[in-house]
Amino acid sequence: MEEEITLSKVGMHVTRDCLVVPIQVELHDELVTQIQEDILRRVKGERLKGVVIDLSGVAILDSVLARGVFDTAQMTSLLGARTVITGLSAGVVASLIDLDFEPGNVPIALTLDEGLQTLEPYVKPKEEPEEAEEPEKEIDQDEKDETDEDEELEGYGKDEE
Amino acid sequence: MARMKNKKKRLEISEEINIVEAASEAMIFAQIAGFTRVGQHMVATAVSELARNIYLYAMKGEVTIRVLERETNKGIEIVAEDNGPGIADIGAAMKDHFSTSDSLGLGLPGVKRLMDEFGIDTKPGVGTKITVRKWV
Repeated sequence: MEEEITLSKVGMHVTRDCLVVPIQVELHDELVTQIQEDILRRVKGERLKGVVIDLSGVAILDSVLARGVFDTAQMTSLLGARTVITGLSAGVVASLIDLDFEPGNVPIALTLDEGLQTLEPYVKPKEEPEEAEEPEKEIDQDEKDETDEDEELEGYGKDEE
Repeated sequence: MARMKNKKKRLEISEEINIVEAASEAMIFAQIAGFTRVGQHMVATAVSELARNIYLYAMKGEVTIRVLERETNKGIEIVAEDNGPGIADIGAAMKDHFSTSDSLGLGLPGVKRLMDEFGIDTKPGVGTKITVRKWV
């Protein structure tokens, strides 16, 4: 666990003129500062119009870490980009409310995909393969149902444990 | 998960990285105690705030985490202790958005809301001991 936490580099990639920052490690102050610098440098250097910071891998977001992330979002707007924060878990949200955290006017979306959708007026539209013919779907109905059921049960188990 | 009653861990807080370490440890304890995912997050966040205060105001101290067990349910207790400057005005420190450093405040009202029980023992120049508990 210690090794994972001390990773200072978070992978980022650009899609549709938008910087996607999926954070899959627990945050600490230094890491937030590092991520903030990386984001600002790339937004400015590559003239990006949007940023999605996905926190779905983050379980602990205290008041200072949250401030760092939300401040980063507001800083990007001064560079002409718009940042959406996505992937906040129920536990993170409940904690932020108890901490009386003020999120400001930073847009929030549930998932990374929805985050990108939110940015659509600002970033390149999703490239739809125009002539792509829809292949005949050959999904074994029984198999599909089984998978869905499994996923659902697994989801319940986690919370009850 | 048998015999967790006496499980206890003491963590030193002297570097910034210790904050997230303590919070992560608290999350594991909360899971052992039987908290839901949301409950685990809340406990971990409270520990993060407490450890942060130690690091920020006292430079060093320690956080002790243990699982509590009573007849009806389990819980978790966190003791955050330091020999730092202490808090002169507890009343003010328990108000939202109070801060003496350049950061965002002690976060104590938030910690109190995240947990079920909150106790503070502090003396200027001697130190601070904060004990919090949350029940499943």
